[in-house]
Amino acid sequence: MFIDVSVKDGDLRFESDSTLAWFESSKHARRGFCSVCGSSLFFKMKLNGAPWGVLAGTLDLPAGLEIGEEVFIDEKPDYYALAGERSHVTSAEMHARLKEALK
Amino acid sequence: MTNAIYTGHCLCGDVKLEGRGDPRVDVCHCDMCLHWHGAPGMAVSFANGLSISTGEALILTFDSSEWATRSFCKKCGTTLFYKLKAKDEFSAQAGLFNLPDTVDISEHIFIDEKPGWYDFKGDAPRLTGAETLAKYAGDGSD
Repeated sequence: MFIDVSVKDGDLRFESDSTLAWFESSKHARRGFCSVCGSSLFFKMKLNGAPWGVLAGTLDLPAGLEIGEEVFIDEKPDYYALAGERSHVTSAEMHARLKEALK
Repeated sequence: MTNAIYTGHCLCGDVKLEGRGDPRVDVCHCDMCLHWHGAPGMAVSFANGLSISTGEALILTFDSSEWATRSFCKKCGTTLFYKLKAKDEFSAQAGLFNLPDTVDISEHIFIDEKPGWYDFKGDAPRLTGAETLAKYAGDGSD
């Protein structure tokens, strides 16, 4: 499961990035991880100015935050579901968003 | 009990794992799982065990505590499996595998470390860290 916090490009500051590694996971995006412990860190589109999708578990987040939406919901396996009501976005809708962003 | 075989793989596909027998899925909400996966750890174990089929040379193992290690693919960074040092038992990240629709979450562990920004549906038992250790850590003799 991937739960991310969107951080504006330019607003993420590294105190240390000496062990940061990148994997090019598709034509349009890459994923960062720590090469020592393997922690998954973030997702970043290659578009100029694209926000950082920082994995929520890496951050100590303030209380009261809620998940905004769930995406690629049709690819979710049956063995889990998150509680709570929010919008669910399909992979077709996500691909349409990507197409729009790449225009 | 079935003798089904499940094949799982990391994001780049170079590490492949094989699970044998019925899968069981548990969710760990501990702070270490949150930092490692970036999300709660959804772990699968198999009734007849789990082994590495290909890509062993790409697997890096991080000594994450006195009692366990965590292994990942050094090429794509996929978090692969958790292993207790005292036992020859692995639990893999459930998302590596295509699991049958009949599988449900068996248990949530370390629920008292869960942050407030997510909750799971379903009534699988929720164990605190103390309850988890009492149930599984035993007296260290096994």
